Amino acid sequence: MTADAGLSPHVLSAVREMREAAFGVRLDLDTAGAVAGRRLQGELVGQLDDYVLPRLEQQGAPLLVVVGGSTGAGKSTLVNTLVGVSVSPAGVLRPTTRSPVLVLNPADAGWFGDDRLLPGLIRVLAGGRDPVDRAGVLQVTTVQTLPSGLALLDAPDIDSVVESNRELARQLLAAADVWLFVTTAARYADAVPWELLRVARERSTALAVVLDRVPAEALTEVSDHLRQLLDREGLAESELLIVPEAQLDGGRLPDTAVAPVRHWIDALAADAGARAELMRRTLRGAVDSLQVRAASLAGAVEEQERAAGELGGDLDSAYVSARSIVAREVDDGTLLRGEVLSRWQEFLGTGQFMRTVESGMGRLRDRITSAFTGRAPASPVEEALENNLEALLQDAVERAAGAAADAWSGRAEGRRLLQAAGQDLSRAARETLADIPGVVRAWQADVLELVTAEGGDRRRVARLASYGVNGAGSLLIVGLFAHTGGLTGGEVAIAGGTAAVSQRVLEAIFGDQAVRTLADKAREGLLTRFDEVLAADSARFRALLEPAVPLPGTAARLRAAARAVRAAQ
Amino acid sequence: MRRARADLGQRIDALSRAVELAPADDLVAAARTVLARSAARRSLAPERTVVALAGGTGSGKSTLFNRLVQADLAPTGVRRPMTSRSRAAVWPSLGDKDDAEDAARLLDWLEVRDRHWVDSAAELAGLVLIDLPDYDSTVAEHRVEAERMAAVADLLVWVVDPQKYADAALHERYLRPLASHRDVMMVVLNQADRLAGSEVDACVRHLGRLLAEDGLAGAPVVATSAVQGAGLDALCGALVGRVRTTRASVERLHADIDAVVADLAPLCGPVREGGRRTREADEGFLAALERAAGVPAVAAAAAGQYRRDAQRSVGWPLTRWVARLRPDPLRRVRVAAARLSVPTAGAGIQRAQIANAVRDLADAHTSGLPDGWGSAVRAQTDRQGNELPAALARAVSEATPPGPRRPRWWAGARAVHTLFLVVAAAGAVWLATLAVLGYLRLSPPTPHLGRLTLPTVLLIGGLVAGLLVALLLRPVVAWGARRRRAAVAASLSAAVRAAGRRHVLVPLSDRLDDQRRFCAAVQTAARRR
Repeated sequence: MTADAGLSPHVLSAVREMREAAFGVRLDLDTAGAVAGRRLQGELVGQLDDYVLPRLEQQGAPLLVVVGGSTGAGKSTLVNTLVGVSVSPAGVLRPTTRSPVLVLNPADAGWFGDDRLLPGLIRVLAGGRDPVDRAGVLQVTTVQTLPSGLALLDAPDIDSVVESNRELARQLLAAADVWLFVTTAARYADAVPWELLRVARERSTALAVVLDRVPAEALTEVSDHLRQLLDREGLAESELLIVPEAQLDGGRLPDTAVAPVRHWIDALAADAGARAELMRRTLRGAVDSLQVRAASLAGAVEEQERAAGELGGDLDSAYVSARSIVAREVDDGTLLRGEVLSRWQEFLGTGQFMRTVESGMGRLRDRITSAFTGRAPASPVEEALENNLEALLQDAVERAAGAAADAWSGRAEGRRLLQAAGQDLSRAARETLADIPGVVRAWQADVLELVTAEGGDRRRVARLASYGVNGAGSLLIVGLFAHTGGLTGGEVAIAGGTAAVSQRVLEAIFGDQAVRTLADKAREGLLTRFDEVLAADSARFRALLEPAVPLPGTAARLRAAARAVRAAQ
Repeated sequence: MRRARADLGQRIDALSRAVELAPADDLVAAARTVLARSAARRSLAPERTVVALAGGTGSGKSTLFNRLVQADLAPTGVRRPMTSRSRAAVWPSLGDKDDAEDAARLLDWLEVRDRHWVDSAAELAGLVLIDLPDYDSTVAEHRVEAERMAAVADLLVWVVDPQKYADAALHERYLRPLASHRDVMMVVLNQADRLAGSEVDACVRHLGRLLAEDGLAGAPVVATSAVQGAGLDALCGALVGRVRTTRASVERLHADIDAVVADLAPLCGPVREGGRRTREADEGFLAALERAAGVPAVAAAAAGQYRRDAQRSVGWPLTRWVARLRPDPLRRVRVAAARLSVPTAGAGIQRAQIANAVRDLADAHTSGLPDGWGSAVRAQTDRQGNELPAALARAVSEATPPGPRRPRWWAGARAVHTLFLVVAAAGAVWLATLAVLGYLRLSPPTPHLGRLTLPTVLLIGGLVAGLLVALLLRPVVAWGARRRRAAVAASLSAAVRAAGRRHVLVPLSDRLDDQRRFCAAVQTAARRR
C-alpha cells in the first residue's frame, strides 16, 4: 500500500522516530518562540498520531473528508442535507457543534476503529446511551445514503469563543485526507479561516471550498471575489462549490442548493483512482511538511538552549565577579587597614604581644578560656579582621545575587522564571548570609592548621606554642595580608613596623619561602571556601533554570529524524 | 451635570498625581495615555456624543449607519470587506452657533475625514455617528483603524449578526478587555430578519450570557434588522437617551479611568507605617555607619593621643622620655593634627560595610510592600547608598574635634612638677656641694629637719612629691582621656549620622511617603461619584 503513495517503507520507521523525537521535546523557557514552538510541537505530534502514522500503516481506508469552517457557516446543515439524515444537530445558537460527528457507510465501519485515524478520540455510536456532547468524543454514525469509500466528518468551528472547539477543529483538519472548507458570503474575507487555508496550502492538503449561504443577488460578485482571493493565496487548484442561501425545510437545504457539493462527493465516491490520488497528495504534502516543521521545532529547541546558556552565563558572570571582588580586596591588603592595623598596633604596642611571647602565658590563657567557652578566644586583631572579612563576603554575595536577578530581569524568559519563583531572589538567601561567620571561622582554623602543619619540626612547634595559638594565628593572618599584596612601604612604616615585625617573626620561624607558600595557601583556602558560599547562593537560581533547560541532544535528534524522513522518500 | 464634571476633574487630578508618584514609568503608561486622551476630549465639544459602530465584516454596520442617517452615505454591498475608512455623520447640536467648527475640530482629533452634515436637528441633536471598518477581515489596516477609533469613541455600539455573535475575535480580543466599559457600550444583533421570531429571543439571551462571561453582564442588547427596519426605533431610542444627557464623553472617560485604576490597585497593597521595627532598623543602620566610618577607632585613637600628650605634659618629667618612644596613635589612623579623617578602612571594606547596612535598612522598610514599590524603593536606596562612602568621608573630615587639646590644668601640673624638680635639683646640688666640701674637710653647719639634713629632705621630698603628683594625676588623665574619647565619638557620630540621614533615611522616608500619597491618589481616582 505504501507504494501507492510513492513512499518507501523506510518512511514509516523514519516518521515513527520523528514522532518520538518531537514528543520528547520540552519547551519550558518562555523565549520569544516558545509559544509558537509549543503549538507547533502539539500540532506535529498530533498530526503524526492522528493521521500520518495511521495513514502510512493502512492506506486502503476510506477517504476522510473533514467538513470544517467558521461558526454559523452551516456545516452541520450541509452534512445533514448531504446524507439526508439529521446526524449532527444544527441551530442558531453559536457554536452549535461541540463534539465532532463522523458519518460513513456501514461497509466502511471497520476502518475507523479506536486504533486508526484520530486514536485519541473515544468512539461513541450516535443514538447510544453514552453522553455524546463532551470533550474527547467522536460520534460515529453509519448511513446507507453515503456511498462507500469516503467518510464525512463534521468538525466543530474554527473561530468561536469556545476554545476547545477551535483546538479540536485544527486537530481534525490536520487528520483530513481532504478538507471540505465551509465559509459564507458574510465570512469569506475573515482573517481566521484564511490562516487555516494558508496552512492547507503549506501542507499541500487537498482542499475544496464551499461558499455557503450566498444570497442570490450576490452570487456572481462574491464567488468571483472569493475565486480571486483563492488565486491570490496560491489555492487556484482547489474546487469552489457554491451553495445559495435557501429556506430550510425540516432543518435541511433543498437538494438543488447542495447539488454542486453532492456532485463532487459522488464523483469522488465513484472514482477510486481520484480518491487514491487525493489521499496520496495530502499524505505526501504532510510528510513533506514534516521536514520543515521538525526543523523549526528544532530551531525552537535550540533557541531554548541558547537562552538557557545565556541565563547560566548571567549567573556565572555575576558570581564570578563577586569572587574577583573578594580576591582583589584580599590581594591589595585593604582588609588590614584601619581597624585591623589599629588593633594589631595595640596588640603589639601595649606589650600584650611581647608578654604573650615572653611568658608563654598565651598558651595557658588559651587553655583556660577555651575550657570555659569551648572556643579559642579571639584576639582583638582577629575580631576586627573577622568583621571586615564577613562584611566583605556578605557584600560580595549580595552584589552577586542582585546582579544575577538584574540580568535575568533583563530577559523575558529570565523574568518569567523569577516570577514563577514567587520570591525575591535579588537578595542573597538568609541561610547563605548566616553561614558566612562560620565560613570565616572555619577558614581561620584552616590557617592555624596550616601553620601547625608547616611548622612540623619540634623546635618550631615549641617556639610556635610559646606565642599561644592566637598569637600565631594573628601573626600569620596579618602576615598573609601584608604579604599577598601588601601594604605600601609607607603604610608599613605607619603601622610602626608591625606588619614587618610579624613578617619577620614568621620568617624567623618558618623561613621566607615557607611564608610565601603559606600565604598563598591561606589565600586559596579563603577563596575556595567562599566559592562554596557563592555556589550555595547561585543554586537558588539554578534550581529555577535547570528544570527548564531542554534535554541535551533533543534538537540534534529532531534534525536527524528530519534528514531520515527526506532520505527515506 | 456640573457636579459630574467636577467629579471627573477630581478623578483626573488624582490619577495624574498617582502617575507622577508611581514607582516605575512603565507601570503607568496606560494611565498616561488615558490622561492625554481625557485632556484632549474634554477640550473638544465635550457635550457632543461620539458613537462608533464597530463590528465584523458583513454584519451590516454601514447599512445600519445609512438607516440612522437616512441617506445612502456609506457604500454597502456583498463584497467583503466593504468599508475601509471611518465615516462620520454629524447632527447639529441645539442652539450653538460655533457648533460646526467645534464638531470639525473634534473630527480632526478623531482623524475622520469623510464627514456628512445631517440637516435635521431633531432628537439626535449633538450626535456624531461613525461607521468603522471591520476588525476581523484579512485586511490588517482595517483592524488598526477600528481599534484606534474604539479607543476614543464615547459610546461603542458593537454590531453583530446571527452568524458572528459568538466569534472569538469579538469576545476575546475586544469585549473582555473592555469589561470596565459596560456603561458606554451597546450590542446590536443585526440581521435579525434571518432568524425566526423565537430564535431571535433565544439568540439575544445567549448573547447576553456570553456578554456576562466577558464581564459585561447587563450591557444593553438590541435586535435589529437594518434591511427591514425592525428594531431601529429601539436602537434610536437608546441612542437618543445617551445623546440627550450629553454625558457620554464624560462616562467614557470615567470608564477609561476605571480600567487604568483597576490596573494600578495592586500597587497599593498595605501601606507601611513607621513602627518600632523600622525605628530599630534606622538606629541599626546609623550605628553600622558609625562603625563603617571608623568612629570607635578614631575616638580610641584620640583618647590615646590625649594620654600620650598628657604623659608628655604632666607625666613625671624624668619618665617623659619613655613617652617619646611611643608611636603617635592618631598618625596611625591618619588623622591630621587639627582635623580628624576616616581611618582608611580599605575603601573596599568600608563600601561593603555601608552597602550591607543600606541593604538591611531597605529590606526592613520594604518588607510587605507591593512588588512594584518594594523593588523601586530598594533600588533607589541602594543607589543613594553608593553616595555614602564619599559623604561619610567628607562629614568626618569636616567634623571639628571638640575642646582644647591641651587643658589648662596641664600647665599648672607642669609648673608643680617643675617646682618639685627644681626643689629636688636644689637638694641634689646642695648635697653635691656638701660632698665636695666634706672631701675638702670643710664642714659648714647644715640645717636639720628632724633627723635628716635639709638638702636630703629637699632631694627626696622633691622626687617623692613629683612621683606622688604623677600618680595622683593618673586617674585624672584617664578620666580626661575617656571624656575626650566620648567627645570625639559624639562629634563624629553626629556628623556621620547627619550624613546618613541626609543621604539615605530622609529620601527613603520621602519615597515611602510617596507610596502613601500614591495610594491615596489611586483611591481618590477609584472613587466614582
